[in-house]
Amino acid sequence: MSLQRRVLLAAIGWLGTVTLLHLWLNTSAFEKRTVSTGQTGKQFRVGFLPVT
Amino acid sequence: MTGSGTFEPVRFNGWPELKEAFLSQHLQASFILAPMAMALREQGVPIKIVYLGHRDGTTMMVHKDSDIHRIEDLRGKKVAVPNRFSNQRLIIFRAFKERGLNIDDVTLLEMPPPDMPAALHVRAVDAIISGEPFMAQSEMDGYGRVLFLTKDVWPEFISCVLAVHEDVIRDHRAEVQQLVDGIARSGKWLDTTMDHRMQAAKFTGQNYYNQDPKLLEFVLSKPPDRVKYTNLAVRRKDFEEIELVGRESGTLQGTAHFEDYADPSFVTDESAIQPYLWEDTP
Amino acid sequence: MTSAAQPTEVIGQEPPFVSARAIILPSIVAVMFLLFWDGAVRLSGSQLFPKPLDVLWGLVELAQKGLLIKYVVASLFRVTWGFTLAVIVGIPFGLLMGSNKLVQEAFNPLIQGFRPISPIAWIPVSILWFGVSDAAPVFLIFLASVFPITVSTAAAVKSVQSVYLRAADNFGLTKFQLFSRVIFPASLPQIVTGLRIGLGIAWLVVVAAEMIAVNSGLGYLIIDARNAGKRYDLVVAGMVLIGVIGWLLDLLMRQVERFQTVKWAYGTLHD
Repeated sequence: MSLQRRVLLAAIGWLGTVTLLHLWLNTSAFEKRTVSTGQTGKQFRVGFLPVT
Repeated sequence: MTGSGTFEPVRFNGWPELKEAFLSQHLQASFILAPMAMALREQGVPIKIVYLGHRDGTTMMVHKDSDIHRIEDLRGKKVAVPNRFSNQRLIIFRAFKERGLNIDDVTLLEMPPPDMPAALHVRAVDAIISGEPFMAQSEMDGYGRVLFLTKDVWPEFISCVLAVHEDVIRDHRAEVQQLVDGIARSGKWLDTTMDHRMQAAKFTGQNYYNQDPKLLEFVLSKPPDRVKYTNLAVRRKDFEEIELVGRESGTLQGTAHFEDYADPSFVTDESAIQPYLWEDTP
Repeated sequence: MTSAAQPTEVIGQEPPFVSARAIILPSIVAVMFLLFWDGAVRLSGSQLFPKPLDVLWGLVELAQKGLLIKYVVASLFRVTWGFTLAVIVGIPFGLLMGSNKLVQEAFNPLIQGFRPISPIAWIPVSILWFGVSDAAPVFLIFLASVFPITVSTAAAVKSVQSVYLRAADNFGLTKFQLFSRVIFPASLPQIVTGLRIGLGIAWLVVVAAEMIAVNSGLGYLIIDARNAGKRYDLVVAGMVLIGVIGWLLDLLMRQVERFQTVKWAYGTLHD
């Protein structure tokens, strides 16, 4: 395998590993998805600052 | 409970960032400084104030060795405020006016609340004013002294309000109602007994604010009316007073009025709110 | 970059061990720095500023809570993606600019105008565009590193010695061959140096990028610690982590740098 290809593979491997780890540790992407129950409820994001 | 919305609290670290995310509709609703919400409305942003975050809960602190003992002593001093559109800034205008002082005699500078305790500690500023728990931090650590609690200067002081985009109110009224009810009922629960407040200090400190539960316990108990979570419905006279001080201080233009920026219809009868019943499961 | 002038250098010729001096000297300086830090905090009697040991305990606390690995991964994720996108955009565009005078003249002023804008100035824009998702910090990191990569790639192409080009011309290479066989390999060493600088800047920007409402990452750790009252030990812990990881990333890039330059000099001689 040429060096060029090795470097490229290492870079892609790094990208994939970091991405999977991030999705696993810091997002809920791998949590069991709650099956959509046909609710019309809206996902609300409510902003706040940690002051009283 | 009505509606079936799910709510995701998104914590910010500064008012400008929160405002930008709210403006661009990445947030459907947000707790935001009352005069900031009014100013946004004046600038044509279609939002409505539907409820309050809390009442009082703001303190002005000075260094314990400082020679400032009354509001009058602030003349010629430097005071850190959270934002130009904060009611914390307006309360200084109001207090100065009541005492016949000139606002130009004090230097106000904007500073993120988390940085305020350290600034007071090294005496980079003479006084700091913001919502809790940052003020109580300096008191607990022994270098801060309370100059005033808002309840003694502007009773029923409003710092943050819950603002919602108008189209969200129109299209998802049930969910907004559910959100307001949730806040109202937790507020009632909080203010029912001191024990509830201590449970909440522990819970929110660990799960939401990442702040020392002891600090939050301090804020919620010393004195117990340092911050209040009841009586949070949107009332015309409170906001007209903010409008007035806002206009006098040049913060607001006075082009938006209560009908424009407020929608009090979500809670019409405060006494009908039932506190939550989470006794042992905070 | 002197490797072109040293065609005899081959892989494995570097000393396989690091000299004892290279470890002992920096260690002495580091220990002296820590002692000075500790002494200065003790002398000043500051209750706010942490001592080195406080920072260590802060790190231990983060590790025990499982936050250390989470935050490091989050920051690496954002930097990796921002940097990768910058490479994907910056290198081809730099190659084009370096080899085409028209493109260079047309785009250079715009790029030079964008380059001095600090990523912090872009924070409001990125929130308006990307909200509170991971895309916002990735965008900021991309912006910070794409310009240095583009500019250094263009410069690398322009500095390819004309003797190579004339030789290539003599061999009758097509335009594509000229690019893939001569220009790109010849400018690679300098491009890799540009990448190293780009990665350094990308990592530098992580704190500013994570000031946006994300809830993980080393930059977030610092901002969150400020929120948490008197946790300046965690603020400094975040700084230490950023420093150490940035250093390791640079070491990694240096490996690539050495590797590629050698490969180029080696390859052109024996292909």
